[in-house]
Amino acid sequence: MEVYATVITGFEKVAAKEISSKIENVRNCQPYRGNVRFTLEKDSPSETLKNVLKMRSVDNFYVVFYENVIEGLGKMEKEKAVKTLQNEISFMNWKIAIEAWQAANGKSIFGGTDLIVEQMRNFMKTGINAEVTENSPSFRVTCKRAGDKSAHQFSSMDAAWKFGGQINNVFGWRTSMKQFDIEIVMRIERDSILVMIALNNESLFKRNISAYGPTTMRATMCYSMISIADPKPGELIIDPMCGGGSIPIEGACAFSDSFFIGGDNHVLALERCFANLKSASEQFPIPCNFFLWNACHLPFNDNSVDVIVTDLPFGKKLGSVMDNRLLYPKLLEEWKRILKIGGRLVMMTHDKRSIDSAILKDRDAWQTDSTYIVNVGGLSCLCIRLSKI
Amino acid sequence: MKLLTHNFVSSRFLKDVKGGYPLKLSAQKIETKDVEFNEEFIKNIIPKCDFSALRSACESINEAANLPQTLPENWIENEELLKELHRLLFCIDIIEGELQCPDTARIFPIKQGIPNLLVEDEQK
Repeated sequence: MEVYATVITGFEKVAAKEISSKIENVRNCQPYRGNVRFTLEKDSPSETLKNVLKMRSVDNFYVVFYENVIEGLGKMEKEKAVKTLQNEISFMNWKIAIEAWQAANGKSIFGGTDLIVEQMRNFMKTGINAEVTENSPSFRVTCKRAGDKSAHQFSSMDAAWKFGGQINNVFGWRTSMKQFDIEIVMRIERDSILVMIALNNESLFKRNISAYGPTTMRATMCYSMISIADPKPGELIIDPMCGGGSIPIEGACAFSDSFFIGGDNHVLALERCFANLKSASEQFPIPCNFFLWNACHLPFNDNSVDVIVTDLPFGKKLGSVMDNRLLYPKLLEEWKRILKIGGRLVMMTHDKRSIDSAILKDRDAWQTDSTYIVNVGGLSCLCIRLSKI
Repeated sequence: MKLLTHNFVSSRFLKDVKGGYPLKLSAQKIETKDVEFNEEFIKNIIPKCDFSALRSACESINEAANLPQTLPENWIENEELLKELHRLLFCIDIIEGELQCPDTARIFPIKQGIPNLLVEDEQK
């Protein structure tokens, strides 16, 4: 089974590492731009798919059930191109798609895979459209074209619309853009086409957070940053500018062998921490704590903290680049004080220049372990891991 | 605020404070939550804790009855003690109370479980 995972652009390798270390039966796990692809062994048990959905660095999972190159697709006129896409429907492995959907959702689609196979056979033989019944599942088709959009004579909407119509003809599924059981995604890049079925309904990064603030980070982003810090059992991990607490809460859920403390200087941020911790703790209490504090004056002894993971103010929605030039060196000085020798600091910012110059000012104190250029809501940001030396 | 957190907190950041540890604890409201016992975690975190600071924090909230004066050498094999340490460090939550700097006697309030360590500029 071919799985396609959409991940944060810039953290593909982090996601690939999580997938290959946590799931058995994974082969060919490869990072690409914005996604990771891997194969699940043929006879892996159905629980494997449930485990796949537990990955913490992945936004969405899909199972690929068609992959092909249609020579000259870009040169075809709109009508012909769309018709060609429609006709490919019979070459797609709908049986695998439905099996994967059923395993991931823990329920079956009306008629199961037998009905799908029979409907396809009927349509191929007679060309008569299947009937829409009240038991028919609802679905939508999304088409995404990567790369140069002018490579095709048709729009993404044209392709999704016509292909959706063909699914409706063959299987009698009901189209519905908002409330749908099944989501089919087509990815077209030049002449190559990928058709996939979504395994999760709501994007996985929305876990943990109920109170959103102006700069709330996705849970998948928080997980990736913490895992770059490589937490060890029994370590103390701090987020000095935690906002709504996304990093400590995700950390306490994902790395239960480490202890997380977050803080912020704004009462409203702490109210969001409180609300988010409460809703995240519904099933079982999550052991992490929050403080009202100033990130430049932290209540810790010298050389006492193992790891700091934080999202700095970018100077876009909060603060300004001018502020950052003064603020970043102050932050680094305080964080150097509380970190142990060999302690790690993982930071994210859009303001690369301010962070670079802050590190340069104290270059003997820090060693750069790794850097990542990450897409954060359309902004190109720098995630950097330093060690205190 | 958990006692594990208290064990890490210091007022070293205040102006002219060189020690600032441990902060004196007093509590008006305490809650106990059942956090899952993670034996490996306790075994890893105890060597990082200051036992006498934990002991005095427990005394200040009357929870030290089952805690020895000093950490016994064989603590790692003493399951009963590990469970008690887990209860003290993780399950007890200080909801309302105060932290006090041992050097300057400055007081930091704890409200809704959140300690407020913000200070005005001239005292930093």
